[in-house]
Amino acid sequence: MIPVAKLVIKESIRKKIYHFLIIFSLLILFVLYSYSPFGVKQQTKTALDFSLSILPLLGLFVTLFTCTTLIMDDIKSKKIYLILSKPISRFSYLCGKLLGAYLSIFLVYFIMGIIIFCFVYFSGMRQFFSLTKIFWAIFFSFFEMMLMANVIVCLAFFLPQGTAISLSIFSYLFFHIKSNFLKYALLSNPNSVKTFIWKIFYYIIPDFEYFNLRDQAVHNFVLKNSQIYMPLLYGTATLFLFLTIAAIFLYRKEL
Amino acid sequence: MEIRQRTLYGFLIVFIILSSFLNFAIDNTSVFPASRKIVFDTPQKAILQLVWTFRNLIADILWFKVDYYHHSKGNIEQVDPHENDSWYSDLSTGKICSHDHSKHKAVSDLSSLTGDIKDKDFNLKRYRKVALYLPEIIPLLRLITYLNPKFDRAYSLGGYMLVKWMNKKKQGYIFLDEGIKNNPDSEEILTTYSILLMIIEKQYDRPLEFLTRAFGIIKSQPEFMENDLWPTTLHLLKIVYKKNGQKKKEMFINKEIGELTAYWLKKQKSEEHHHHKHEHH
Repeated sequence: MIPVAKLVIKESIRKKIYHFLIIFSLLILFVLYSYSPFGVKQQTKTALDFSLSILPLLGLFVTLFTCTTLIMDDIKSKKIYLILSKPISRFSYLCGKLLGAYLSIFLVYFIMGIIIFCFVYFSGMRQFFSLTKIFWAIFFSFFEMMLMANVIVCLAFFLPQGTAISLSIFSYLFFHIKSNFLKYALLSNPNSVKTFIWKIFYYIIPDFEYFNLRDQAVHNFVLKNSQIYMPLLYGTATLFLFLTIAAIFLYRKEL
Repeated sequence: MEIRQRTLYGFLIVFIILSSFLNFAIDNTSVFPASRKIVFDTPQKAILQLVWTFRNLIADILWFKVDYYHHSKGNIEQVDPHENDSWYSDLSTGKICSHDHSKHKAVSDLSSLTGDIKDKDFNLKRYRKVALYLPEIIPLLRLITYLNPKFDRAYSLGGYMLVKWMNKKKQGYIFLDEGIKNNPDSEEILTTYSILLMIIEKQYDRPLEFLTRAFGIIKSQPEFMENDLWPTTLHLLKIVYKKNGQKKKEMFINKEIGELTAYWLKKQKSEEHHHHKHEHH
């Protein structure tokens, strides 16, 4: 499992997209820092809000480019036969691949996280923000990307690359807005069989809004312990759910 | 690690049940506050739901546009000699404070006031300057608050502009009420609302409620003395207590103002000392 993960990281570092992303993020922060809106505190708040909002965008970008070709490239180039001929099961191969993808995404998040921490620390407005809350906001954004990696791998099994990318972006957006959309459907037609089916559907579909702690970090709102461990538990269960789906797809693939 | 396909199907069922149960548990308990779950009730909000994920980012970009209007377009008709002035007054020192983050750059003295806030002249000058872009800035602020209901600055600025500069009191107060509903802990909206009620409506009951809340919010912050709104809140509270004849409470606020003044004097002295030391070197 570990050698497979190492291979994925090496491959990711070789891709020039990471260099571009780091420069891109540095540029954004530079532009924000040199900007002077209504006051230093407001400037820092806006800059932090902006950076934490752009973080999942960058993360999604990296995740998409890492994961859409993660397994399918190996199948197309027949490299998978070489790997599976060694004493490694399909499940271990999948876990190794995903672990490598998580670590590659982590690398981007780590760099971006350090930039954000330094920015807040040296802005002179540190007293208005909680570094712990900022950490949790960044961590949950990373966790969301781990989940997205699993979703993308699942989609890439049976869809062409372009369609898998489009559908992944759509899924990401839908997982964020689904609670509002489906709640609207539930409220408009309560107490019926249809509503009951909608309700089951509502709870099965993942809700990514639980991982959104940006408001707590930017506006320094109260962050309860339950707001950390409950989404963490939920996220882990969903992560394993998509891992199982991906494993089923891989087992069913005729190799 | 070899796993049978049948075992995987078993895992699939277990994880579906587990994740659905946890989703249900989070959704039906008070893990997240109710205000977080905003169900769209207007067509505008429904459209904006589509860009919900990146709403904060879009709101921030729009805020930059507001800033652009505020700083560039407003200078076309320059009638205010103090072009960088803030839209609120630093009342603890009795002065209107300059916008460029400094508390020492005072431009007008309000210390001779006997209780009421009379910043009429100041705002008349500002009116001609900002009137040029107000019709463009208000829809932007509205959009920002649709996208991010936690953007208290947009509520505060929008409400102030509507009531004070555009004379649209009803819309302005509705906007500020919405701001307070979405941001009950925003000292910024609470103080802005109080200033407007005191200056325009000559009302002191609601400001008392708002300012007491703002006082508690700011005081609970670790470095509250550094909060830009602390002097304003104290001075406004002092005026409200004076109007209501609550002498004991007024004395208490006076004591707080004294502590703040001492803090600023100490800070100023220390800054001057460092400056001299630096020059000497």
